[in-house]
Amino acid sequence: MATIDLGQIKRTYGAGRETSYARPKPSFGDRIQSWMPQIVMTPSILAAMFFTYGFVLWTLYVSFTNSQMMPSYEFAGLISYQKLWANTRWQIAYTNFFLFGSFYVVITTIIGLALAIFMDQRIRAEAFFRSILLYPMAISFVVTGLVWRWLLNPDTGVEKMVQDLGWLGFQFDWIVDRDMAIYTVVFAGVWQASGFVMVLFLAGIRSVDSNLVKAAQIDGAPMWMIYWRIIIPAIQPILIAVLIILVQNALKTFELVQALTSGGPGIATTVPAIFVFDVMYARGQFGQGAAGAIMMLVMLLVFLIPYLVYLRMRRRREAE
Amino acid sequence: MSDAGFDHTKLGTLQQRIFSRTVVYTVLIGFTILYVLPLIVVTLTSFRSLEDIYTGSLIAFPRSFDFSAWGKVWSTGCVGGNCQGISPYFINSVELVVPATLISTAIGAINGYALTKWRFKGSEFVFAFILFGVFIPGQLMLLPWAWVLGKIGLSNSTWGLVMVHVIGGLGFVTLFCRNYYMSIPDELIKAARIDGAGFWTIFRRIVLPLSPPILVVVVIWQFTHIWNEFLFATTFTSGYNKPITAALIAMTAPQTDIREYNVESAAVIIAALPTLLIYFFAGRYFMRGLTAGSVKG
Amino acid sequence: MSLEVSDLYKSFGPVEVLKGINLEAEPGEFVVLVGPSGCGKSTLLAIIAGLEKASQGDVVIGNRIVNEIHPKDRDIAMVFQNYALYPTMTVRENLTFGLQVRGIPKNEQQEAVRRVAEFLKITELLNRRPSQLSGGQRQRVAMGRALVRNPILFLFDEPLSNLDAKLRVEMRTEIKKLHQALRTTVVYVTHDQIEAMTLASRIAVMHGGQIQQYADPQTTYERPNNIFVASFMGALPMNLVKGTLMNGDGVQIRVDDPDGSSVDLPIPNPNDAIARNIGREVILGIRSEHFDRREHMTGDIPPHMGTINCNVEVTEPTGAETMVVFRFGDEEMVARVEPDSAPGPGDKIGLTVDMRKACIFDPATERRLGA
Repeated sequence: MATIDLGQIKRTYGAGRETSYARPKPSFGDRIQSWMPQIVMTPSILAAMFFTYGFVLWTLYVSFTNSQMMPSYEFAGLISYQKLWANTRWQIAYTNFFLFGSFYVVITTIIGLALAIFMDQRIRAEAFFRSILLYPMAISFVVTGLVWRWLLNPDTGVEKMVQDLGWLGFQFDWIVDRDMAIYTVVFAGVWQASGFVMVLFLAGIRSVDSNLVKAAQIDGAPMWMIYWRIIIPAIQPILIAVLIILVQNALKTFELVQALTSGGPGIATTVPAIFVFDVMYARGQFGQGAAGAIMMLVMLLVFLIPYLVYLRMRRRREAE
Repeated sequence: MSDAGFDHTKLGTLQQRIFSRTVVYTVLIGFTILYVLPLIVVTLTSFRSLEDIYTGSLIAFPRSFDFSAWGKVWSTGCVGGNCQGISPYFINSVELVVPATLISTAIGAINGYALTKWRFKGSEFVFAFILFGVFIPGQLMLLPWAWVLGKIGLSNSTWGLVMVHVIGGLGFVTLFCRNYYMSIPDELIKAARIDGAGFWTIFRRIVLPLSPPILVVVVIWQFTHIWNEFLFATTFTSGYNKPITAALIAMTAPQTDIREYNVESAAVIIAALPTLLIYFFAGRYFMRGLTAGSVKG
Repeated sequence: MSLEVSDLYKSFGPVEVLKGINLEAEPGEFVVLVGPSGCGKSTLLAIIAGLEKASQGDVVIGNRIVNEIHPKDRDIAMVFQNYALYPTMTVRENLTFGLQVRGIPKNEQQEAVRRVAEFLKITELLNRRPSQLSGGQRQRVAMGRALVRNPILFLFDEPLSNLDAKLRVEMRTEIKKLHQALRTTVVYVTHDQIEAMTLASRIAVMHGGQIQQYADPQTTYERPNNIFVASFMGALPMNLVKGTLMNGDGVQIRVDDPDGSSVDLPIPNPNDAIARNIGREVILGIRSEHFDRREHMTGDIPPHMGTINCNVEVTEPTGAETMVVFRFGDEEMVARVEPDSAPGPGDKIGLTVDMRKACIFDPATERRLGA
């Protein structure tokens, strides 16, 4: 039995005892306090919504128009995409991405892993080596590209130096060679990223349960086999994370190419990021630029979404 | 395999061990040379005179040390038409990076704190929402940002760039701070709430004093990233307002005159120096902060 | 009443964690919420503290319904499992933090700290940081932080779980002494039923989001409401075996052995519920200390005691007594006997059972008949 009376509530208990209670309400300040986390997050949420997703949606919309110099808003279906795929520059950019991307990812991973294994051998001055191998991450892609541009330039760099030393027939002019220039980009990219990859792998190798290794040694396995068949499989999650980071880097590569070869010689080393940049601004093919940008995003999602699904599944499995 | 009682490098016969040790050190030293080479070459080049450079290749020891390039680069070098040296662009970068880093770090810390210690309905979704932005290639944002900056009168200004970088960096800074703050026990916050402290009091007196490890990580990360960034830098500013990385490209673009490699080298060193110094001196705090909050995946 | 919880329900999404909790605590009581993990006791405590909101129902502290009130205004103090001491502040600052937030003048703050530090004997620790304290010291500082606020209600969330066994016993006694000195109402959560028994004025045994029994320790031990409480409370769970109620020489219970024989045990003073269930199969519960060696009984066996013969499977000496594991009615049972009269494994022994202390449970509802 309960009766409600003004701001109080009366209660009746089985033994007939009746008491009334005050029912105070929280103050205005207290109520704002309970919404504080949401209030605080709102600017970031709005910013992300508008400046990130909003922009993507805008670019998506423009990619479906036939914009030339300036964005137009007339829906035009897939015409910009058709023009895009018919554009030789895009085709070269796209091919370059796959070429550069695969070499870059594979070589960086192998070198990073190899260096990590070497570093795991109880090196003296390990901190020294690690600092040196990692420092390229601290400098910008622009600086890396520039410096290697000078070093790989036949007139001023390695070729000239070796020729000066007497070996006149030495040639190393990949950077100005249409077919080989892309490999110089691979080289510079690998140079910049392998230290970082090495550090990630080293941390992973070090966290492998030593009991696994001891058991393998009792079984008589030689060290290289232990690395190959036990340790490397054990750091699989890190391997996958590294691959994703590298693929993402490869896709976004812009500054490195710009500084190293300016996309050249000619357009031989142009990559999607450069294509989108040039075309959106300079060549009156705005719609194609937008389409290219969306293609970049799509390629990224193709790698990213399976990875996120994989992460989810792994987290679920670990929780069981 | 860091295990105190077990050293896998002590296995095998003496011969095998000497062989593998030699291989390992050779490879590592070889790579070290390869990595350090560009840095050394650029430094040395900045100390050579032009005739010195042009009679050989870039990869050579200076015949004599010539410091003129350094004076030139700071005040009289030419960057795409303006010959006032690289100092204005350096200052632009400083004016860009310092506010952007500070604002960005503050927002990241508050976001991470709100998301982990004051979980509300949908906070996980909000986190993923903000985080996803880091994957979007910058090219998609160029024109829309240019339009927005134009509308609010910030185009071709350092503050416009600050805004772009702060918003662009939201994902990463929130990620770092959130992962770190997850390791602060929730009971600490509960006790403070019972003691009567509200959102901001708890942040100021309990969470912030515990934050230095991750704040160091975020500041270093943002500083490095924003200082070295080129795409936005070159798109949203022009002429005198360019930060140093964009100016560098303009300065080293192929010209009709003789290229002053020594001046350009000095410019490169100046451009790379701040982040390199931070890396060498504060790098270990960066590593420590990362592992303190286990920033994984 | 210091505390009343009425018709409280709490769900996290689709999962219902508290299903209709009703609880009151008189001023000065020491109420212990005990139960296995997942039973909802910590959630209930959090709702009382105001750290969580109930889905339904009221919480009354003092004479106010505090459902909408923030924790800081509920006049409560809480001690956590992991102490939750502010790591970057000294002990003194830890104690005064809450007072500072409320704007209490400095001299009053210092006076409160002095009083509490003296009472808990932590005065020498006032200028240290939590990281410099031992586990027991940290626990006392945590209690000090709660004391400084002079609350109506003290809430403890498994405060002793992180201490080693010896320290736990020590701190348990200190908490009890504290309560006796202060007489503030306490609500204490633990999964350790020994703590519950030794500390509580009343125990609320929780399971599956509901209070199974809310009574003083001795009652929950001797007259558990249901099988869960009978098994959960007590250092050894109550021994349980199936039997059939029948009318023989007075009301009796017959326990069958798989080998075909059976034993009849008397039920002295059967209540109405038992009488109504004659002829049905029920579950008999006997605590281990109510067995004794047959040899100890000189003369005739009194009518309230039964006898059984059994085979000893294993004996476990604990120093103060020996636990004898045997089979009875196809169930494994444990009897506590004095070490001197302990049998060896494989022995056949006779045991007497004090049936006045036995409990009868309905096998379907699991409730005690007569509860």
